[in-house]
Amino acid sequence: MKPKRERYQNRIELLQGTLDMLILQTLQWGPQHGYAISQSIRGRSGEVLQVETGSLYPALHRLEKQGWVTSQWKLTESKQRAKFYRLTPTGKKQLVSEQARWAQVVSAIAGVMNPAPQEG
Amino acid sequence: MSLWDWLFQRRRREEELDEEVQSHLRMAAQEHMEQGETSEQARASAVREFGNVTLVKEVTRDMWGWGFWETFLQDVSYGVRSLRRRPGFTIAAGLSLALGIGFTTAIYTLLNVVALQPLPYADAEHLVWMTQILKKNSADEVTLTEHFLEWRRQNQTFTDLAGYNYQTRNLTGLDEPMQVHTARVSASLLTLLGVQPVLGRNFLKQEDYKGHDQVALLGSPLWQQQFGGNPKIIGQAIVLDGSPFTIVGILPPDFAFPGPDQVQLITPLGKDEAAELQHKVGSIVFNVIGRLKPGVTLEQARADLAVIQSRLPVPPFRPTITLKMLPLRTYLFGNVKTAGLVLLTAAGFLLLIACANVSNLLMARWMRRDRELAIRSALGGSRTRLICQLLTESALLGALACAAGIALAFWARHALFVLSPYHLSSLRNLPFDGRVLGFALALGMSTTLLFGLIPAFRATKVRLAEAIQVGEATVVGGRGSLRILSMIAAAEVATTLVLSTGAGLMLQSFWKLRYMNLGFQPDRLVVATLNLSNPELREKAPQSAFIRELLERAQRLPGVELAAVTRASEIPPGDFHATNSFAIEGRDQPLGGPRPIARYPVVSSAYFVIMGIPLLEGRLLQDSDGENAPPVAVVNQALVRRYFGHENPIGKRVRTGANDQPWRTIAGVVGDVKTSGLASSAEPTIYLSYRQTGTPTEIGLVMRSPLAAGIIAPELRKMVASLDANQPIASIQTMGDRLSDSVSGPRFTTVLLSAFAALAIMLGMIGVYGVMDCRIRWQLRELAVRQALGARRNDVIWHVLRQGITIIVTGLVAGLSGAIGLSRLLSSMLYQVSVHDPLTFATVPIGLVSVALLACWIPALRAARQDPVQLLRHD
Repeated sequence: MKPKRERYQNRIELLQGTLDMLILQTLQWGPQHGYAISQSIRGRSGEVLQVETGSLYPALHRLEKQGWVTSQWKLTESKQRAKFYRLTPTGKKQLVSEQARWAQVVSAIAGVMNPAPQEG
Repeated sequence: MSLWDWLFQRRRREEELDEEVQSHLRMAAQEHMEQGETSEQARASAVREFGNVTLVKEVTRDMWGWGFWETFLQDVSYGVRSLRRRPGFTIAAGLSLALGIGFTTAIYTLLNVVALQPLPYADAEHLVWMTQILKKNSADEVTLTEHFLEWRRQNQTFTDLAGYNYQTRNLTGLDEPMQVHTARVSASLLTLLGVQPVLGRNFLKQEDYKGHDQVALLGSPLWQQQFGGNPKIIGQAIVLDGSPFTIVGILPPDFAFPGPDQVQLITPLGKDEAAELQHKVGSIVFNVIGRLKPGVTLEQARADLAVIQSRLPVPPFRPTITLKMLPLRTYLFGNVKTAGLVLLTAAGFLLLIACANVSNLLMARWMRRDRELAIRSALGGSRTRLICQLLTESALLGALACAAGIALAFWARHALFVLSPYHLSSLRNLPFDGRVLGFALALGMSTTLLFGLIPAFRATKVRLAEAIQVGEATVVGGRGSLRILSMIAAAEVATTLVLSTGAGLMLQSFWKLRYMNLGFQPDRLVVATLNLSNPELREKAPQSAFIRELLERAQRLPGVELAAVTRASEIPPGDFHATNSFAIEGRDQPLGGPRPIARYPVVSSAYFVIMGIPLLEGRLLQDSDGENAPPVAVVNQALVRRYFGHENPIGKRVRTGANDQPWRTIAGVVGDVKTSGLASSAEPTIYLSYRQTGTPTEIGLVMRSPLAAGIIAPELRKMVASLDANQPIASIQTMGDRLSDSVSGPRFTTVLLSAFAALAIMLGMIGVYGVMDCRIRWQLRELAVRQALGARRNDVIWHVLRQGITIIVTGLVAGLSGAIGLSRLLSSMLYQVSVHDPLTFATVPIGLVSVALLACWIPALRAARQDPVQLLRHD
């Protein structure tokens, strides 16, 4: 394993694994290419989450290697050739489990941030 | 996935990635244009937003994972860099491994030929060599012709039997007379071997008989050299020993005669078979070769011949007859195979030592790289990856050494012909075939694993915290590594000991063989042999005159002080099969019982003086013992010992040869001279004066001269030609060369084994030194503390030395038991030296231990000289 890789993994400013989940979530509505995915995440997050290409493409390739998405070259609406990523059945399962975990994390963090009144 | 698939796929993905990035940029630019930017502005914005394209591509590429080949190439380049950083280590390690691999492979090419490759005959595994052992007082491996003929007629187990004799003959009628090595062979020999002449025909059945045997088949080299490869030579006549022979064919260029001697042309055996079978004449054949019928085993054939033999009449001189049968391969290559196995074992040991050394060096080196390794493993490098990387470095070294070793073997293998000059040179080539190459590669690979695995595993066993905290004391693998290092060093001591005791035994044996108990002074002697071909010289009187003239002229040659003649076969190291029976006057000779036997050198009077053979009793032969003087003889000690015991032999009379020979008075007793080969002790010998007996036709001229044979040769040739223009000289050599040539095989084995042992000692001691050095480095602070607490320098030295002694003693014990076990392998090659020779088994270990102690003492001394204060402050 190379140190270099570690360095760039740290650049993912989202929580580890969160970007993967966001991508899978985005692809759930149909195949999409890299540019559209980043635009979609940005739009849906109300311009909060800016996905850097240096994180997006490694993530897409990693997901593809893990078999959660597949890719195919197709034409866009504006007749441009682009590489479209599509969610695979295992990718769907992965998304479900990520969603469950995410819910856990959110409620855990919420529990810390807004503690319930202690029993007395 | 093959390397090519991988490279191809890699390129395709690269192109795809590029296209993906470009499409991203195009789409981004388009969006910017839709927001009203010019196309150039849009492009620039898209690129700016995207960020560093190269970097993005690189981190994306990382996600593809490391394909096997990419990892491999990366490891290789890492290994190359690592090796190049330390050229000294690389060269030393590579060279010692290359020597080991090279020697082992070269010797394997020999074993490949003698043990694995088919002999150059059809269906050679069915060929059997056989002989009778005729035992009178000494044993002769010859076969009685009449028995051979009976075997051939009566056997049930062979498709055919063929016999052959060697004969050295003079070939005349050419520009210059020359001596040729010939064989007389059964007409069916070539058919039996499955060999066809390249030109002309084989011998015919009737040419086997006496009177029809004046035909010859030429060997290709002789045909090329003497007859220019002219095919018209077939049907023409050549003159051998004064008789004409018709050339009927030419042997194939790759024909190898199935015997130990060189053969340049062959003629039929030419026995009077009818007379032999009726016991009217009796002769011998030296060698018999048979082809087993399909499905017949050697044992069945042996039983078959034994039955036939038991029914055959025993000849009048009543020998006891035993049969000896060997597969032809064993007969031809048995000795070479033993020598080859011994040398292969030795070379293998040398390789093992080289391996151990490189292993130790690598380990010591990697132990010093502890921090680098620790950091790498901290950064998430898995242990497997680290091991793979270190192994790749070893493999590179191994590949380098293997390539160099193969080159060395390819070049050096020809030297091995010396082990058996005739057999092997007749094969002309030690092929470097797939089997040899495979052997070398397998050797290289196992070597790499052997020296690479242990250090790779130990060195990657990093205790992270320690490695990073502790200063200079190396802790990679810790004490466990040190223990392994010491074990390897002990193994090196053991292996070195085995090799050097083997070499010690061989050296002692060779020394005894070549230099001890020769019975004469071999210095400053030049020996020429002549085979008198002129038919007139077969008469006694002209022959004596010829020899007297030859001696006189030889003594006048420049640089020659003294000259004498003897029978050619009696010049040391001599020849086998040269004994004959004799009678002692006054002793009852039971008819058909064992008779006394002796060799009969026929000499001129100066022979004893020239050779420096000591007179023990009586007098030597003198010039006055001429044609008309009373016949006398001089005998050697062996004869007195065997046939006279405590009786005084002087004045007793003996008769050599047939009953028409005169009784000869024993005038003196001289010392024993080795004339049955250097490996045999002297046989009973009766020296006769050439003037009182017929001389043999093959004579040896011995000259005392300080000059080299090459300087005397042209003068001598000129002189002999002036005596008789048709008389060739068979050989001219110094006595020293003659003796050495006769033991060239053992000499080569000894030299090679000694060289291996010397190399092993050197490498082994470097190994011990390296390990001690490493141990001390590890203990530096401990030693400093000891010194600070009042230990004196000698205490420190002793403390270190004690660890070395543990290593040495362990190695010594293991080595001695190994040496005792393995020296048995040498038993058939040792001459007058026991395989457990106490001298060797005492001196070699003592010597080795001393050198090993020195190798421990030097680093110990250096450690003790370190300033403890400085060492302690260092932390």
